[in-house]
Amino acid sequence: MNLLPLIVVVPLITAVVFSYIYRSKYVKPLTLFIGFILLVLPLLGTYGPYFFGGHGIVYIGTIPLVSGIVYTLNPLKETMIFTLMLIGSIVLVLSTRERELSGVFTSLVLMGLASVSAVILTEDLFNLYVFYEIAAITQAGLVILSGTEEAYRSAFRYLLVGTMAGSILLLGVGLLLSATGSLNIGDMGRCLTVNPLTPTVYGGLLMLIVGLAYGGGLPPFHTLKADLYARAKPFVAAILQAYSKFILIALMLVVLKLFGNLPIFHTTRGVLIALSVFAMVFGTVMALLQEDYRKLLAYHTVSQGGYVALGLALGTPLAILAGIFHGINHTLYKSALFIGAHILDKIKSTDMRKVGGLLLVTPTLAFLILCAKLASIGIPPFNGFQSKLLLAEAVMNANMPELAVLMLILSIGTFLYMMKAFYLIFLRPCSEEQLREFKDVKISKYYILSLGLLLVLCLFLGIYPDIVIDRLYPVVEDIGVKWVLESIKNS
Amino acid sequence: MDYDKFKREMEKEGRGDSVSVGAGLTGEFILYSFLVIGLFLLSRVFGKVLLATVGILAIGAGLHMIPMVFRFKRENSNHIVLQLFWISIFLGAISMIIFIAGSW
Amino acid sequence: MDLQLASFITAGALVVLGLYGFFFVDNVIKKIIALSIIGNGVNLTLVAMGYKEGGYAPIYIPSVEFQVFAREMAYPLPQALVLTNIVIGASMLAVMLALSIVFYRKYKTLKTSVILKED
Repeated sequence: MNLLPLIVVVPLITAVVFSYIYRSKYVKPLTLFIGFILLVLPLLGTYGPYFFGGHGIVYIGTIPLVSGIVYTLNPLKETMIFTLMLIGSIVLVLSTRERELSGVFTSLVLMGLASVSAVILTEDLFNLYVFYEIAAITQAGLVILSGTEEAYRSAFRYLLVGTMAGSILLLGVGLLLSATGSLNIGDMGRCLTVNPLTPTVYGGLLMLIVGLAYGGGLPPFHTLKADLYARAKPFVAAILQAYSKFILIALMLVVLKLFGNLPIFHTTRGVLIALSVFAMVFGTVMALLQEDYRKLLAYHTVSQGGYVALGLALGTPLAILAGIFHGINHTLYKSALFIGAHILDKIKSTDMRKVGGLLLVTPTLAFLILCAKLASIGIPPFNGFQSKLLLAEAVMNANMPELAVLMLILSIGTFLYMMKAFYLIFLRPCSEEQLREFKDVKISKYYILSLGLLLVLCLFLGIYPDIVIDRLYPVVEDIGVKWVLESIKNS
Repeated sequence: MDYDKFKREMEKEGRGDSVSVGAGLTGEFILYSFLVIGLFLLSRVFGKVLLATVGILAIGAGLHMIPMVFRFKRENSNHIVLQLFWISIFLGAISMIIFIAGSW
Repeated sequence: MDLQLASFITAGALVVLGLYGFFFVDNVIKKIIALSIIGNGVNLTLVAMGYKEGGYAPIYIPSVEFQVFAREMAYPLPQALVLTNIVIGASMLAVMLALSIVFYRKYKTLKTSVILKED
């Protein structure tokens, strides 16, 4: 029996339950329990499609058409969902160490996990839209929970623009529905390839790109996203960035599946590459100018989102593989960095001008954060190196060596600001009484353990990247755009 | 770009320590090299003289506006008016590109 | 005039009007109203898409033969979409209005350029 829908249904129902019992004294143990349940969920489904309501495939003439909503599971989606659930479970376990924990937080995290995994799993465009909106409102809610005035403001900004972008995305879905008469992504893609292109299809494509830029945090929406990550509590930002990274990957795959074989994709590819390069450059330059460690990490997330989008936008199988692999790696090490920032916030503050000399106080933490930083810069033997190398290779193969040069320059920038942060936080000399003040703060073992777990995973993926790559490649090869490869070969 | 001039600009914002100045200067160079490399890429891929001219104009404008990084930071602020301005520009630009370039 | 065409034109006008209001009006409440106008325009587009002149409502009527019914029925899918979208739009609207009340209490103004200024 295929238990695939449970991946979405279990978090969704428990989210509803938690929102009812949010003041109960059992919230903490239940949160721990559900945190472990989440890790089992990705293993429940079997590969292949799952038809809701048992409609299955209907033949009109000889053309097979999908009726109703379909979820599919393949190794690619399974890996993404496993990473997502891992981060979610770590965040839930850590949340039990927070004093002002309530069931509302658990409920929102679970709601977000359910909606993002539905966005990943679904093959139905409208279903994707619904869960995309739920994910947007959940992210705003998670930021509001941190309770500061800035958090309220950034959540309000995010919601205002999000409602606009969501409406535009829905209009795009509607236009594509009217052009093809179906909502199943595979059927729509086939229908679009055989029929002539109309302005309706152009409009749908345009509006999907707007929704994608909002959901994934590409420019010009990057300031909103960076605000959101910087204002939430850092360990909440860890799950927020996982949400937007996977929404970005899922929506990019939808654009590739729908428009990959059309002549219009040539222009679209240019637009998407431009957007992702903008994200890379803007994120890096803005991160260089930050004084606050949280904001620095937020802009770093934006720039790494650009790398992920670049890989997917190039459209060759290798590039898509590199993009998705980088997305998974980035989610892992960036969660580690955000958890590190949370510990820093507990010790004193995330403002880099107010801390210093922490190497003497917490050498373990310093070592772990340094490892996470090395992974994020892309230094072997960590996983960031593997995926960045793969991405550079893919960019060279796609006949755009200039982008590889740009990536190298941006890596130098990344190295600089990461090391600047490390110096200011851990190495800069500071006075004795300040050190004594820092030493008084007790750090929970849970944080160090979860940091360690994430870093072990980073190291493992850095040494044996084939474990993920071999699982992803067969799926990615199907999605890869054929004519891009041919046009590269010809030129 | 002169280091001392740049340092004076940074000191106006109260961030005159050498680490921040170095980071800011790197940001400036990254922005500039992004313009140059973007020009290379565009003129090689599309091979249009007009595009290359526009690109050179952009680089010239960048040189004129040096240091760019402070203006860049202002435009990337989270003031809602600026954000909405850039979003509207984005909507306009992307629809122009898709509809005009797509229908060629 | 054709009802479907008229609906599409109205929907387009609503979306454009809403976008104008969202980008250029400074008042928070008016911005939120503009957002819900965009949402209504989108809903109208979807409903108009499934419209069929003189068609049956998409509820099965036993007295009509199935083939005839399937041919003459209005397209039901967009209506389901609109129903879902109205719910989502209402929840978004509620959260945004609640937040704007909080901001009004704090700043005593509804100007977006004051409430959401740079920080």
